[in-house]
Amino acid sequence: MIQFENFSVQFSNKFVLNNFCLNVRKGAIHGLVGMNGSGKSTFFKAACDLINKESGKISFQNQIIDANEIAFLETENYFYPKIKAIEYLELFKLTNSKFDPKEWNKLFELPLQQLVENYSTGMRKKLALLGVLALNRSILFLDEPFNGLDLESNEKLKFLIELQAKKGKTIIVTSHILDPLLAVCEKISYLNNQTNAGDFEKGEFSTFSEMLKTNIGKSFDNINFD
Amino acid sequence: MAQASRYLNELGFVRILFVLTLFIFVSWRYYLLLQEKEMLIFLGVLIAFSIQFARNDKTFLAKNSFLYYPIFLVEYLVLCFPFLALSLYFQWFAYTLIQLIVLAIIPILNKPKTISEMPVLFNPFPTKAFELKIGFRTAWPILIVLLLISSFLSKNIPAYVGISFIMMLLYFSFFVIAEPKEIIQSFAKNSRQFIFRKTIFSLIPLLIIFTPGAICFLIYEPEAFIMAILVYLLLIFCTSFMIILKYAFYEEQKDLSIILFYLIGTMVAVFIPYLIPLPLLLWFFYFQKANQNLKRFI
Repeated sequence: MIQFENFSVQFSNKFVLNNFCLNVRKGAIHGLVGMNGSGKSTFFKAACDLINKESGKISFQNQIIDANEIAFLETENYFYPKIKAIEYLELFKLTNSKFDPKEWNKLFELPLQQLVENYSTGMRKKLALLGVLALNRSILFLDEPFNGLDLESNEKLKFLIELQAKKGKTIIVTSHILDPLLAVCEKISYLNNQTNAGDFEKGEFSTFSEMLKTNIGKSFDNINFD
Repeated sequence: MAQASRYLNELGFVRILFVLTLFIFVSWRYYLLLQEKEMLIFLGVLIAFSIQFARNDKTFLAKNSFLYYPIFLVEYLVLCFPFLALSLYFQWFAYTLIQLIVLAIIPILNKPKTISEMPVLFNPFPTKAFELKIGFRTAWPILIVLLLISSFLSKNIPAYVGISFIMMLLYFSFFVIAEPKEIIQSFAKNSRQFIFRKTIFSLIPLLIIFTPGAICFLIYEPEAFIMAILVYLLLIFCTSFMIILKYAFYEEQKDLSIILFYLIGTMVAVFIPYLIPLPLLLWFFYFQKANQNLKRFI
């Protein structure tokens, strides 16, 4: 198991994550869900050392895992201005000489000769994903990868995630759309009140889904729609 | 026909006219200033090489590999026409012949057909030096205007130095945009290797661009050669310092314009004898800082 232990992050003296723990099987696709602002992206950033954290470490069989073993696809994708997609992808050949941008692009068929700034949100997401995969790191954090993708690309992305898991990569995915997560993940963790509120195995997904619906129903009970 | 339409489409007819007019003007200025016939050959070859380096039509060339030689030759002849015309006008037939021979040889260098198959050394703007490549892509009109002004003012030393300083700042401003962290992660496996690679990738284009200039100085202005070498070394130092500054302050999406002021301060210190050790100390200080900062990403 890859263990993410006691992640605590606070902004302006307020805890966004408080001793958040997560156990993920090596080579698994693990879902992470939670409300907006529950701290999913903060957890990813803290694990990647992109923000300061109070505590938290990643280990596998008692060996500390460095942040540089993680590739992180963020929700909003940032690119260098005036760069062409092909130029962006070609850069990844420096650390991964086997990476062939044109071969990988057969999946998404992006216009690689165009400037990235002319890309739509979905196209930028796909391009960023190709870059993250090209880094060839053992752990992948995918933050809202299904956002802005069309139906066909959603299916391709699911296929791609499963393919990476088959190659032995450990993948943690967040999404506000539950269906793709239920389709690809072997386990889903629920982040609530700054901590891990529960882990649900594949067989328990229907229970998890019901629990969410009940919670949503409860919140509707207090609202007067008249 | 397909090649002609592709070529026009890629360059744009107006841009070709503009480039031709500019080259005629610049070569005329160089002729008046230097009175050196060899300079025409040098400029012609430089242009032919610059076309070769800027090629972006690998698929087209791969499909028409049997035509690559005439395609390149026609293109080089079109763009070097002003130099050929000038040397014919002045009846320097031997120099016209040399230019034609050189132009005929250059397409042979394109035999690998695709730029990516060419060694890095022969491509002055490799993708890895993306700051320069994209910087020149966006700033080329300003650079041409500055070049024109500097050729006008070449006999007015203070103005010439001023324009050169602005051009240098423009070049260094290419480094103030922070790239996505994935690009940093793709460059190297550790921070020191990253800084080393980044500096080398950025210096290769500079060395290729400025070395012919330094050689010309050695031939035509031997007494000022030491001065040229000092400027050359300063440029190398400043490029290296700029890269270190960039990564000492790097944050994804952060505007790093502030580092230009650090650089200007350092450049000023270079010219004040008592302060000469300061830039070196600052270099080491920011090198450590860049090293620490990069460890967060690599």
